[in-house]
Parts: sequence; structure tokens; C-alpha cells
Amino acid sequence: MFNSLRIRLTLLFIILTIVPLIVVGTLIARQGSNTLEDQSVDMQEQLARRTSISLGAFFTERQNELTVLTDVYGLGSMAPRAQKDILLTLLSKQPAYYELTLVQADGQETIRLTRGEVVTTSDLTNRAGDPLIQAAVETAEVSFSPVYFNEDARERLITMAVPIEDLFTGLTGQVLIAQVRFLTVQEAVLRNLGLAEGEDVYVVDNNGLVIAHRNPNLVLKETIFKLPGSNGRHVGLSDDDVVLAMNPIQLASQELIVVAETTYANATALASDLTERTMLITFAALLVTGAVVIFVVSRVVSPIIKVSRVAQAIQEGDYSKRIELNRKDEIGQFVTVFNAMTDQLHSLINSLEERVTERTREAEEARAKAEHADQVKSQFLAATSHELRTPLNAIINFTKFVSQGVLGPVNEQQVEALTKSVNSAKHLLNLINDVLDISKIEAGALQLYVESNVCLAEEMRAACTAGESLLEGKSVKMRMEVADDLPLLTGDKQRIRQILLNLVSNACKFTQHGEIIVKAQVDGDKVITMVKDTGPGIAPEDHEAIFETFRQTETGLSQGKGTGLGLPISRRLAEAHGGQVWLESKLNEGATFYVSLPIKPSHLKPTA
Amino acid sequence: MKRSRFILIVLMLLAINVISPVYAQDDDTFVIGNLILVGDEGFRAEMTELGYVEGENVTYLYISYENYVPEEWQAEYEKQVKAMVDAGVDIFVANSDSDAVALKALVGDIPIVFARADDPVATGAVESLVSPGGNLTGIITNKPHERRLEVLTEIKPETKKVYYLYSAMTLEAGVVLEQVQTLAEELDVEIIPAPITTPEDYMKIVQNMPEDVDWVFLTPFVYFDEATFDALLAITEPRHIGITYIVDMPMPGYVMGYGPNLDDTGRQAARIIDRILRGASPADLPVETADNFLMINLEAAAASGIEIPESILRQANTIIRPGYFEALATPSS
Repeated sequence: MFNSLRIRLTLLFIILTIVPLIVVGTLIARQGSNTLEDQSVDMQEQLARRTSISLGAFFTERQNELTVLTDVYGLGSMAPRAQKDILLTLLSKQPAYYELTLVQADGQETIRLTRGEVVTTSDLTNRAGDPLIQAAVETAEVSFSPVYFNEDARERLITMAVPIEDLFTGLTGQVLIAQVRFLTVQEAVLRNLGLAEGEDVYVVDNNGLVIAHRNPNLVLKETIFKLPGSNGRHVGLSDDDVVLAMNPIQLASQELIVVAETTYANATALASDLTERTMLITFAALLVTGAVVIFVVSRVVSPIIKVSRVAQAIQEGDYSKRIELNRKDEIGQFVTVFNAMTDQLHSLINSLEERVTERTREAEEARAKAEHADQVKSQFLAATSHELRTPLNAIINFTKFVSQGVLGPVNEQQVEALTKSVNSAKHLLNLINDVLDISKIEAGALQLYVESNVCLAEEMRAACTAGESLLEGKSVKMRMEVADDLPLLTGDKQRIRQILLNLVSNACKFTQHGEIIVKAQVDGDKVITMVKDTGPGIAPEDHEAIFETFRQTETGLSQGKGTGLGLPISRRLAEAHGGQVWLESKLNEGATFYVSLPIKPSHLKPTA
Repeated sequence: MKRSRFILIVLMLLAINVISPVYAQDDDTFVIGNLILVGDEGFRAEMTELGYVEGENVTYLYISYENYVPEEWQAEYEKQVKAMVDAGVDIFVANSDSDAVALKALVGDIPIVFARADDPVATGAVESLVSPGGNLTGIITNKPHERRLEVLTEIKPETKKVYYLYSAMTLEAGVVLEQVQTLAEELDVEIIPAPITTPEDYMKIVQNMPEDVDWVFLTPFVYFDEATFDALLAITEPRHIGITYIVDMPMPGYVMGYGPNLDDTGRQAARIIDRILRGASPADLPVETADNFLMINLEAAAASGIEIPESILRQANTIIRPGYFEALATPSS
């Protein structure tokens, strides 16, 4: 797939465009998220601080309320009925109190009014051991109890003890005890914070017990919040991932903690929105870039693909294809040039083909003419040889008759002359026979009479016997060596003898002294026959020439022996048997001719 | 070329679609079976403040009283409730715990929030106040009847007899009566119980009222029709007998009312419903306590010749002065 230029270019462009966008977007989103988280912590700290101030103000207000009763209205010195009425009025008008109790310095309750149960005189008790009252009496300061759950009220309360000074003694004569409802803290403080979805503010004690919350159920259920060690990102009251801040508030010796939290999603909403938008823009950019890239790449690659297809068609020999593209840009110019080039190439190839056809036709004609001429020549030579041989045989025979005295007595001088005539005629007859053979061979008319039991040794012996007559008067010895395991050959016995006779007679003709060795041995699936002489030798440059028709060496020409056809005929005959004829020789070092003949040539079948 | 242009156009359109997201509308609409008779205004106002806007994401279904026939009402009521259930009510809000218990038998496990209860454990509405345990939760009053009795003695310290009218058909009536009687003994006041079982009992009770009673003490589920109430007033006013009711709602003829503010309890109920609609289980939502408020009707007091002490007036959260109801009845110009 990635071998496609289109896909590679498309991916490359998209990666180059989108990756930087994604990286930048991610960095911006992360940076924004961190900044927003920090800002959110600051905001939660402000919210917790503000709530603490409101909470403190709430209790200060309660303290002032009670102090006005004791110090301004002189609650402690009022008649019991008036005390009850004013406390009932306060209880009625101020929902922050659950219970108001007036206690003597010795701890005896004189009035107790609650928002729930009606308290009668018989219900009043002595609270001498109450540490809160003791603290108020001893310190003459407002003191607070820990936050606790009141079963009757079924809500969390905190008790304030306000000492009432006896103006005559300066001592604390009575204590006004007020149970303050945290439910109203929720109503007065928490509900007015205008919190958004995901935000929460609540009050806990030192142990994390939720004592005021917008949802009173959490207070009633005695929910415990595990206070973290620091402000920041933590698990919130509802087990959500939140950013929270804590702010303590001191009520006398009691410490409460205001916790303000917002969900992390809320805190980083802007960053999330930014991330979301970045992703959307990235995706949109991916789509747009992808579309543009595909379009652009297609504009670039499509012509290349078209050029490639047309080039392939040209490679396959179809020069008719052209690129169809109507564009004025560089690619359009390239295509125009390519098409023009293709036109030129097509014309050139057409021209070449025409020339080749013409030349081929001319060559064919020339070849036909040559073949015809050669055939005519061969026919002529064959016919001529035949026409020559017939009368020549008559001449030889009749001359022999005459020289032998069959037609009358001849003298010695006449016999000598007639004998020369016979020899010359025989030489001429041999020449004609050779010409006839070479003509048949070159005309493709040579026919072998194939036999499967040709005894090479016998043919060698016959050739040697014939050659010995040529050695008369020369100090040349002829020796024949034949291996014992020489097999019978398949071939034309007459033609094999003719080959051997040519080689042996050549050796005999040109060797003046020394020896001639005729030797045959098996070499694999063939038999190699060697005719080695101690004659004048043949120069290396003449090794091939002597196998050409009518070509002779300088020695051959100077001695006037031979026709120049014996070796070409021998080589052609050997080749007709599937064999070869070659030589090894140097000038003045004798010559060795080799004939290799296959024992059973596969292409020759015995003639029926 | 044509294909690449087509792809280009498709991808461009897709990109435009991507960068112009269509945010799905929140089509969650809650259906609330609203069976509150009094306090519905506060309930719905709080629901709106909490984000439940009628017609947008909340629908209220009501019981129709158009064809109210007492003898056939129970069957008609059940029929209408069943229709509400069939309409897919998500939650019911009922007047009281007694109503809620009766409703539960009809609606099964659908959450029910009661707007008022004196003792929901006694009525079987909840297992406990902190952990209701079932599909009912709501608001409990904060012992208003005892304090009401005490206030009566503070208004008229000479109070000796209180004519105590209560619905004998309600489950918690006996419990409340016992609590009131206990306090009455300490206050040296005699409670004269007058149980009401049928609508016909009202007139009998009025006619049989002892002459020397100081107050007529009405309790939950005691509803007078106009004629009977007129008959009651015809007897009480000449005898300087005051009538006291269970809530702080101003009503002609009622000298004093003490108890929860029904608008407030309606708002409380709305907040509980909000938590349930957000996924909380009623079984885990503790019963919340309602605050008590004091209403003094000086017009009714004057009609009955009762003088309200100033100390009581200072305690009152609402004071109805003469001319109040006439002003309400007169259309503003």
C-alpha cells in the first residue's frame, strides 16, 4: 500500500499538517488546564474564606443578639414571666435557636424553652457540672460547646453560653444558654452562596464530621469527610474528583472547617472546552487538509499514473495510447511534451519497421537468389561431372585396353605414353568425383548409406593399403595402431573409408621420409582416429583455410598435388556423421589429423 | 478528477459539520403526581428555583375534584391515581404520611414524598426517621400540638377545658392525642376529645360542644365545610371560645394557628424530590423536620372577645389585624 506515491504523499502532507496542530493544541490545553486548576484552587480558597466570614458573622450575630438581651434589656434582672416571654419571642422570631435556657450561677435551670417539646417546671434540672456553664461563669466570656447531634431536634447543634453579669457583685450571676441550629447555618449561609452545579460548600468539625450542608441528609447521616492535608485536587465529599480548599473558623475554643469544592471537570471546564474545540478544529483541519491534500496529490499524481500507464503500453508495443490532460501548468506542459515524444517515437519506430521489413525482404530475395544460384551451380556441377565422368571412364578404359595390347600390339614407348594418359584421366576422374561430392554436400543432396556394423579397423586398413602405393620410392614407414576394444560404428562405410583415405593419402603425398602413424581409439561414446605424419607441417594460420573448398597450402600448391577438396569433403562427411575433423600441426613439424566419429549417432538410422 | 472533487466536497461538508456541533437537547421530562392540597404554591416555586420548569422538564398531574361525590370519591380517587401511574409518574408528593401510606398501596414502588407528618413511624410510613427504608420519605412536624396548647394557656391563663376535635380515621391521631393530654395534665387543662369518623359527625360535634370549653382545638384532617363552620362560629364567638388550627395559615374565624408553614413544607418537599430525581433513594433520605410558626388573628380574637397579650403578639410570626380578609376579598383597582 505504501508503495503508492499518492498514499505516501497524502500521509506525509497530513502528518506535516496535523501533528504540529495536535502538539500545539495539546500543549495549550494542558497549560490551560493547569492554570485553571490553580485559579480554581484560589477561587475555592476565596469561597471558603468568604463562607467562613459569613459563618463567623452568623455566630457573632447570635452572640450580639443574646448580649443585647442580657446587657441591654437586663434579662437577668427581669421577672420570670418577662424572661420567659422575651425568650419565647426570641425563639419564635429567630429560627437559629433550638433551645434557650436561663441558668443560675449554681447551675439550676430557671427557664428552658425549646422549639420542639414543651418544657414544664418539672422538667427543669440542675446543670452544675456542665463544663460549658462552669467555663462561662469562671471566664465571664462567651463559650461554645463542640458540635453535637440532638436526638429531639434531629439536627446538629452548638451550644453558646453567655454569662450574665450581676452588676452589684461583678460576678456572673446567671448564664443564658442557647442551642444554635446548624440547619439554619445552612439556610442563612450555605444556601445563599449561589453555588453552581458541581460546586459545594460545607462545614465539618475537626474530625471531618459534616455538620452543615445544603443537603441536610448528609448531616443527619453523620457523613465523615476525610480531610486532606492541603488545598488542591482531591477526592471530594461525594467521592468526585474535585478541587477543594479549606478554611478554619474559630468559635471560642472550638474549631470548625469550611470546605469549598468544585468538581475538577467544573474547574477545568474551560480547558476541557478548549481541548474539545482544539480536537474539533484538529479533526476539521484533518478533514479539510485531507481533502485538499487528496485533491492536490491527485492533481499531481494522476498525470504521473497516466504517464506511467501510457509508458507501460508503449513498452508493450502499443504506441496508440496518449495522455489526455487539459492543463496549462508544468504538468500540462510535461504531458504535452510526452505525447509529442510518443508521436515522434511512434513515427521513428514505424519508419524503422518499414526499413527492417524492406531490408528483410531484400535479404530474403538475395538469399533466395543465392540459394537458387548455388543450386543451379551444384546441379550444373553434378550434371557436368556426370557428363564428364562417363566419357572419361571410357577414355580410361579404352586407353587401358590399348596399353594392354587388347586392340593390337603397342610398344613400350606407347605403353608409357598411354599409362600417363590413364593416370591423368584417373586424376581427372578423382577431381570430378570430388567436385561431384562437394556439390552434393553443398546442395544438400548428400545421402548416406547407413550401416550399423562398420568396422573402422578394416576401413583404416584399406586406406593404408591404398596409401602405401603412394609411398613407393620414399623412405617412409606406415604403421597402423588399432585398439582391441574398437567397436563397430554406425555410419556410411564408403564415406568413412573416403575420409580415412583422404587423410592417409594426404599424409603419404606430403611425407618424404619418416613415418606415418594411423591410430584409432575409443573416447567415450566416440572413436577418434589419428593420422600422424612427419611431413612439412601446416602453418597455424592455414589450419582453417585448408578446410575451405579449393584452398591449398603453399606446399600443396608448390607440389601440385591434390584438388583442394579432399579435406573440405572429409570434414563435411564427418560432420554428416555427427563427428569432427581437426588438426594439430606446426610448419616443418609434421601434422596430425584427427577424425572423431560417434559410435552410434542418434540422428542416423541404418538405411533399410 | 471528478472523484477527488467529490471527496473534497464531502470532507469539507463533514468538517463544517464537525466545527458546528449540534448539542443534543436534554429531553428528560419528569412527571410528578402532585397531590398536595395546600402549600402547592411554595412547592412549585421551589421546584422552579431548583430548575424544574413546568412545560419544559417537568409535568404536574393533579387529582381533579370537579365531580366530587363523597360516597364515590374513594373509587374515583383510585381511578385517577391509576391514570397517573399509567401516564408515567416518576414521583408523588402527598399531603401527609397517612395519605402517602394509602397511596403506596395504589402505586407500589414509585417514590412518595409526604409534606407533613406528626409521627410517620407510628403510621408505618417509614421504618425510622433517619432511614425510612422504603419508597416513602418526607417532612415531620416538630411537636406543634403541645406548644399550641401551651400558647392557648398563655393567651388565656384561665383556660381549663379544651374541646379537642380529631379525625378518628387517621393512624396517628391517638398518638398525638396522648401527647397533648400528657402536657394538658401538667398545665392543669382538661382535654375533651371529640372524634370525627364521618362528615355527618361535624355538625353533631358542634352541636354537642360543652358550654364551658375555652378553646376548640382542631387537629389534622379536620375540615369544616362553610355551613358547619358558620354554625361553629355561631356557638363559639358568643361564648368567647377561640378556635385554634394546626398551621400558621390565616383563616377567618381561627384565633390562633401554630404549626408548620405549608409553603415552607412544600418547599422542603420540593428539595427532597429534587434529590430523588437526581438519583437518591427515598429509603436513604431521612425525614426532615419542619419549623413551627405562630399566627394570631386579632380580628377573630376580637369577635370572640379574647384579648391577646402583647407578649404573645411579639412571639407571633403572623398577626392578622381587623380588615385583613375584607382587603383580600376586595379586588384591587
